[in-house]
Amino acid sequence: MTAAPRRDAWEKVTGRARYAVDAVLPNMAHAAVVRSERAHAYLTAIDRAEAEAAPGVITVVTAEDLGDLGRRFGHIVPDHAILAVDKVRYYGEPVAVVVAETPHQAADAAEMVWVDYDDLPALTDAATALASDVLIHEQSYLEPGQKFLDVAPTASTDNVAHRNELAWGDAEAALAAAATVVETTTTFPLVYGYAMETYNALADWQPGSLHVVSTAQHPLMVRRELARMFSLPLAAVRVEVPYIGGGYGSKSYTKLEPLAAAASWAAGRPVKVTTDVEAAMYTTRADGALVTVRTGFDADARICARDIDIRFDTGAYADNSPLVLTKSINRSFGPYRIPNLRVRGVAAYTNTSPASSYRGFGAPQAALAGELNMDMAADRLGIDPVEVRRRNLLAPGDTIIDGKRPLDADLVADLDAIVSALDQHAADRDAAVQASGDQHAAVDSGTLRGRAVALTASDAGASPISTAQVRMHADGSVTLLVSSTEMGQGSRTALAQIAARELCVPIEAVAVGQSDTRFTPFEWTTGASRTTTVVGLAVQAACADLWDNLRAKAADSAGVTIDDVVVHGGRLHFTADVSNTVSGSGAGGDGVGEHGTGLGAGAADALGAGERGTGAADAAPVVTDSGSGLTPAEVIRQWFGADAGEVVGVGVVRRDGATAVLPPFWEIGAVGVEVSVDEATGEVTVEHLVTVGDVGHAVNPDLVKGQDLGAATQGLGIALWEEMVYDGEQLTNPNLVEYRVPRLRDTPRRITSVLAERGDGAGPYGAKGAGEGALNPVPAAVAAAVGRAVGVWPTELPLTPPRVWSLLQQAQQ
Amino acid sequence: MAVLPELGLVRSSDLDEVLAAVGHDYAPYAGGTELVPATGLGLRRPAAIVDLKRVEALKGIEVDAGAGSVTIGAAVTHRRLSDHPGVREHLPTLAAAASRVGNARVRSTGTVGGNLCFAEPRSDLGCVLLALGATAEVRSARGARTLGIDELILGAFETSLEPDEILATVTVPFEPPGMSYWKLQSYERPTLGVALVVTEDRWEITVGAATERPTRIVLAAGDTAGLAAFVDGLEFSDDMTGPPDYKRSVLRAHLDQTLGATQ
Ligand SMILES: Cc1cc2nc3c(=O)[nH]c(=O)nc-3n(C[C@H](O)[C@H](O)[C@H](O)COP(=O)(O)OP(=O)(O)OC[C@H]3O[C@@H](n4cnc5c(N)ncnc54)[C@H](O)[C@@H]3O)c2cc1C
Repeated sequence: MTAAPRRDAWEKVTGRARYAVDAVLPNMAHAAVVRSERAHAYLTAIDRAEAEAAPGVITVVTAEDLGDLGRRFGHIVPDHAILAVDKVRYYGEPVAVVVAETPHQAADAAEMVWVDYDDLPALTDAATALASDVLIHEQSYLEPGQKFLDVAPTASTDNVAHRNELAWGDAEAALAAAATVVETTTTFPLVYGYAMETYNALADWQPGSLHVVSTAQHPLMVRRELARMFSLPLAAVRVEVPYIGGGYGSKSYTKLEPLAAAASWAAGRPVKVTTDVEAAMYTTRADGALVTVRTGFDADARICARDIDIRFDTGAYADNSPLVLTKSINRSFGPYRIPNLRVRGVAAYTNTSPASSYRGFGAPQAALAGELNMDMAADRLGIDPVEVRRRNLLAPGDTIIDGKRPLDADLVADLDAIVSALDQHAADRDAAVQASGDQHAAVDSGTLRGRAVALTASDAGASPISTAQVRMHADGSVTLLVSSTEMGQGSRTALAQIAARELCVPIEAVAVGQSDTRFTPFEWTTGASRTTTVVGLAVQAACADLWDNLRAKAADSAGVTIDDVVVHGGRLHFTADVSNTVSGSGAGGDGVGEHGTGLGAGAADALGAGERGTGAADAAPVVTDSGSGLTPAEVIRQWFGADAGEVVGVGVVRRDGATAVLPPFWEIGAVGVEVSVDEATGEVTVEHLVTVGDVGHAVNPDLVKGQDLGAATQGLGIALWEEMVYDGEQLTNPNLVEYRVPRLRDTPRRITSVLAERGDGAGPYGAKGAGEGALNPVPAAVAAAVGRAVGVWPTELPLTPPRVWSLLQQAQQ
Repeated sequence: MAVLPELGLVRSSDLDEVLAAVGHDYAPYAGGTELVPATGLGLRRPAAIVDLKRVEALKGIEVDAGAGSVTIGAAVTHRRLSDHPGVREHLPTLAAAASRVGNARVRSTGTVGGNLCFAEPRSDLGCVLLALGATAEVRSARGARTLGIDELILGAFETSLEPDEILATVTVPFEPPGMSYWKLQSYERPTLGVALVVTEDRWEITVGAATERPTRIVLAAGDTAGLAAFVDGLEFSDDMTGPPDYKRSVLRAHLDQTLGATQ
C-alpha cells in the first residue's frame, strides 16, 4: 500500500513511550517473589516470621493465605497455582510473595523467608518424565465432562499434559509399499522468548473491582481468567496494556497478573511485581521437542505417506502448550500433497520452567524435522532438494487439511523467488572471486559452504473475533479504538493506515488508543500473525459503519432518505434534489461554512485516494450529483448544529463472511539460506538469507520486511545459539551473557527480502498475516545448509561452534 | 529477583583515603561491570563499595621511553586503553585486544584493574599482559609490592591480593616484534585466546580464556614436540563455550596455521 513512518517511533526513541513497567498508582507497594530452590518437592514448612518483621514489610503471602480465592489458573488446564500449594514442580516456581514499601525492602525480606522441602525425584526431561511412575501432577484439573480440543480429561496416571493426533488414509500401509522411506529425528532446544521488557504487572484490588496494568499480549483473555479467579463480573476487571517491550508469544495468556492481584488483595494496596531475565526465563519458555518424521516416496519422488511423532517437553504447567501441540501437529507435514498421513503428538510435563506460546506456535519445532527430512530425501533419491519440493507442493486452492480453508498462496512461485535470489548471490560471489583472483579463494580455504531452502504453512489468525470502533470528531479526524496490543510490530501504524484509507483522511488525522478493557472493544488475541488481517477487517467494517452513520445524518439534516446519499471521493453526495435545504461545501447551517476545508476533500487528494475501499454504501446508487458534496466534518457539524459532536462506527469480525472458514489465512514461511562453516572452529556464518513475505498485500511494506527480518533473526538464534541449559534441577545460563541471543554482528552478511503480493488473502485488500512465517522454516533451513556444508546431517540445535565441530569430526570418520 | 542490596559507598579522590577504606567488607570497584551483577546475584556481599574512579593516580597512562615501558592505571577503561596514542604505538596488540573486549558498554566502563582483579578466566587482557611480561603494582595502607601477572592471577576468580590491597598500576614493556593475538569469541566472553611472540629462534606462546589462568611457554623455534606436549598438557575448562577436546582442537589448528610457516 504505502510507506508510512512508524507512529510510535518518536515517543520510543525519545524515551516517552509508556510501558507497563512505567505504570505507578498512588500508594503502590512492591513485591518480591520467593522462588522454589527445588525442581520437585513437597513443601513442608514456610517460615515467614523473620520476613514479616523486616523493615518496610507490609505482608508475606503464601498459598494458605489465599483462602477461597480461585487459586489456580491456566486457560486450558487450570493446573497452575498462584503460589505453590503443597508441592513445587520446578526450580524458580513462586512459593511466597513479600510485599513491602520499596523494592529493596521486599527483596531483602524475601531472603528471610525459610522454606523446608521434602524432595521428590526431579524429572527434568521428557523421556524421563514419561517413563517415570512419579507424577508431577497427581490430580486431574478438568471438571468431569469438560473437554478441550476434543480430548476428554483422564485421571492423572502419567506425566502427559496433552495428547493429540491427526490422520488420513493409511500411512503404515503406504510406507510399507513405498519405494523409498526416509527417516529423520531432531531435537529442538528449550528456548526463551527474550523480550527487552520482561514480565511485569501492577494490580489494584479493591472491594468489587480489580485494575491491572501488565505486559499481557491478550488483555481480554487475562480479564476472563481474573474475573473467574476473583469472582468478579468481566466489567469489574480492567486490564490495561500500554506498549509492550516485545512479546513473541511469550506474553500470551495469564502470567504474573494473578500473583500481583493476590498480593494486592492480601496487602490492601496496589502492588507491583516485576521480573529480571532469570525470573522471566522461569516464567515461560517455548516447548522443546523431539520429532521423528518418516516419509515414503514413490519411484517418481512423490510423497505417498508421512508418519510423524512429536514429543514436547512442556515443563511444569500446561499453560498454552496443549494448543501449541495441536498446531504443531497441523504444521508438521508441510504444504505438500500427502495421500496418507499420521501425526501423533504428546506434551510431557517435566520439572522445568513451564512452556507456552512462542512465535511460530509449534511450527518451528515440527518443521525442523519435516523440512530437514525433505533435504535428506532429496539426497537419497538423487535429485535436487528444490525439485523434490516442487514435485510435491500443493497448488493454490488445494486442500491442506480437510474442512479447513484451502491453500491461499502460490508456493511454487515463492520457491522460485527464493532460488533465483540464492542463485544471484552465488553468481555475484563467483564474479567477485574472478575479479579478485586468487586472493579471494585463499580467504575461502578452510571454509565449507552449503545452501538450503525450507517452506512452511501455518493455520494462523486464531479465532476471527474482533471489534473495532472509530470515532469521527467534528473536524473529520478520527480516534480508532481496538484492544489489539502494540508490542513493537507496528500494528498501530498499519491499522491507522487502513482507517485513513477507508475514511479518505491523512494518516495524521487518525489516533490509535492503547488497549484498555474498560474502553477499547473486544479482541480475541494479539497473536497468530492476525492483527493486520483480522483486526484490519474489523477496522474496515467500522469505517463502513461510520460512513453509513454519516449518510444517515446527512440525509436527516437534508430531509431526504439515506438511500439518497452516496459516498464518493471521501465526501457525501446527494442523489436527490436537495438544493433547497443544503448546498455543497462552504455553505449550510450555522457555524459550519468556514470549516469546510479542514480535513475533507483536500485530505482525500493528499492521499491520492478517491476510491472507497469497501463498504456498505457500495450498494447505493451511482452518484449523479453534480455538486461537490459534503465532507464528513460538515455532516457532523450540521447535524449537531454546532462545531461539536462526533459520529461513531463499530465493526465486528466473527466466523462469517471473509472469515467464515478457518483458518482466516495460511501463513507461509518461505526462506533460503547460504552458510559458511569454519572447519577449524565450527563457527557458522550466514552468508545470505532470503525471505519471501507471502502476505497477499503489504499494507505497510517496511513493517512486513521488519517482521520478516526480525522473525528470521529469531530463527537464526534458535538455529545457532539459543538454548536454555538445565544442569540438574536448575538452569546454568539464566542470563543474557550465557543465553546467547543474536547480536547485530550475527545478522546475515546479505539479506534479500522479497514481498509476494498476489492479493490472495482474506484480509483488507487481499492481505494475509506476517510475523511468525519467516521464523518457522529458518531453523530447518540452517540445519540443512550446515548439513550440506559439513556432510553430516545435524540432529540437534542450536548449531553452536562446538556442536558443528563435532559434526566435522564425524564427517572425517 | 536480582535487586542490588543497599550498599555503603566510599568516594574520595585521595588515594590514601581510599586505601584506608578498602578492607574485608569494603570492596574496591571501578566500572562495576563484574561487581554489580555479582552482588545482585548474591555472589559477593560487600557492606560497602569503594570507588577507585576518582583517584587520579589510578587513571594515568604514562609512556616511559627511557625504560621502554608503559604504565597503565588500574582504573583505565578498555576504551581509553585502546584509543590512547602511546598504547597504540608501543603496545598495538594490547590496544587491539582492548578494542575487542565484550561489547561497547563493557569497554566504556570496564577497567584493566577490574578485569585482572576479578580474575574471570575468560579474559583477553590477562593473556596479553602475561605474554608481554607486564608487572603489577599492588598497594595498601601497609605499603606497596610488585608482582608478575602470573603471581597476581592464581586461578579462576582467585588473585593473591589481600582484602586491604588494590591493584594500582600495570607496567608493560614495549611490545616486541613478532607479536600477535588471536581469539575465538563465539559468546560474550572469549572461548580461547592465543598470544604469540615469534622470532627466528623462539616461540613464546601464551594461552588464555580456555584455562583457569593464562599459561605461557617459551620454546625454541621449530620445537614441534615441545609444542605438542604443551598443548596436550593444558587443562581446558569444560563450559558452555565448549568441551576441552574442542578447545584443544581449535588451539592446535590455530598453532598449526600460524607456526606452521615457521617450521
Ligand atoms: C558481557 C561482558 C563481556 C565481556 N567480554 C570480555 C572480553 O571479551 N574480554 C575480556 O578480557 N573481558 C571481558 N569482560 C570482562 C571485562 O573486561 C570486565 O568486566 C571489566 O574489565 C571489569 O572492570 P570493572 O572496572 O567494571 O570491574 P568491577 O566490576 O568494578 O570490579 C571487578 C572486581 O575487581 C575488583 N577490583 C576492581 N578494581 C580493582 C583494583 N584496582 N584493585 C583491586 N580490586 C579491584 C572489584 O572489587 C571486583 O571484585 C566482559 C565482561 C562482561 C560483563
